[in-house]
Amino acid sequence: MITLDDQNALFKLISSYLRKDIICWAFGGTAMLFYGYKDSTKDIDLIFESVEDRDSFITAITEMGYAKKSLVNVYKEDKSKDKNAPLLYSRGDERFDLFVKNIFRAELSSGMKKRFFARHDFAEKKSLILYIVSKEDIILLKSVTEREKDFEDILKICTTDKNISWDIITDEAVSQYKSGDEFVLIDLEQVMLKLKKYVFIKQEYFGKLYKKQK
Amino acid sequence: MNIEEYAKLLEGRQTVDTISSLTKLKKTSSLNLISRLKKSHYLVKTGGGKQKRIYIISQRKIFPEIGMFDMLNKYTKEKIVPPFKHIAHSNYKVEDAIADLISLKNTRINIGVLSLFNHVKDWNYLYNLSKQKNIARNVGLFYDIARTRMKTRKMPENIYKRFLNSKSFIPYAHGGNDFRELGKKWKLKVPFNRVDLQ
Repeated sequence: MITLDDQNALFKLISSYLRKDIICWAFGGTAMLFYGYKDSTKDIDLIFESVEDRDSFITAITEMGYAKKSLVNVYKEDKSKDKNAPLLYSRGDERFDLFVKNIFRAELSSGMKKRFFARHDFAEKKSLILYIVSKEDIILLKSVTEREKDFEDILKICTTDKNISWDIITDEAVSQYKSGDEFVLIDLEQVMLKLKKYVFIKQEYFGKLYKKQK
Repeated sequence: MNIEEYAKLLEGRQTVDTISSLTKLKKTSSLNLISRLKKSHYLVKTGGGKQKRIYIISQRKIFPEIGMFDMLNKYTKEKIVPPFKHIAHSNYKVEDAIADLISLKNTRINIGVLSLFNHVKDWNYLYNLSKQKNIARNVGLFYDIARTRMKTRKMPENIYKRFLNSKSFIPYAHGGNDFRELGKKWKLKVPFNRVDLQ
């Protein structure tokens, strides 16, 4: 498990090992740490805009002793075989999940890029610029990754923060569906149905998803 | 009660008296609780000295921030509401803030940036940074505008020439009618008018 302070120190250290400036996007537990929704996370989820950027990042972390890890037992079997599955690198109980452009079938859309919550700069030898996706996008992306504890995290966000825009979440899901992710609506609907037991979600948001699924 | 439960109970603005009454603790115990909440990042204090202290308590952790917008609002009279949160974890200087803020291409922010030029210490660093971000001529243009409007430190002549002869710039879609001469000199449209600076 890694705390926010440890994570910031780690990113700072990585930036001193980088050989070029890199921009990446944080979602999942990492983004939740930056939001202040949780105190520690097991995995550091990052998405890069190009394979070259991810490779540079991997070069830096392997120099620091991180080693490649199998996706088995972390992601479900069908997810592990996806062409957009992440590369996992771990050291001790810290793990990096490194994606490029897509998180399985969901893509890092221009809408997500515009909605980002914060920008964190880590500049030592080279700069590592980390954009934190919005809380709505954290929920949507956690719905599609389906790892253990993903639902707990979604529930934590929804119970801590009352200002969740379900309009943004459902609109983004519909837009992802239109651009080729046929499972996003089903994944999100399942999560929303589970969430309904704990938080109030208007029926119209379910309606939006059902309308598109027909 | 653990610290998260206290944060939930006390969320909002509180004084030591309201904390005592809500938690039914003595004043000294409340002060201890305040200290614990602060250490866990659930509390920030305002006031102090002659002013009564007001504590802002949140269920979400509040972290100290230093970024381009903090730098901007420190030096400009007209404070700007940040369009997003920016935090720099390394040594962040005025020169970094100027380059980052101009890259945003936001007119209100660009006007604010003019006040930062008086605090530049390392012009060479600013040139290298703006060249890297492809905005060298934009920075030069804003420096010249700042020199016409407010007290600004003078850039060394050799670096000024490097800014002027640079081929790195980002164009502005719309330009005002004022500052035309400067616009011609820097081969850029100026995205605001004289009246916007008042």
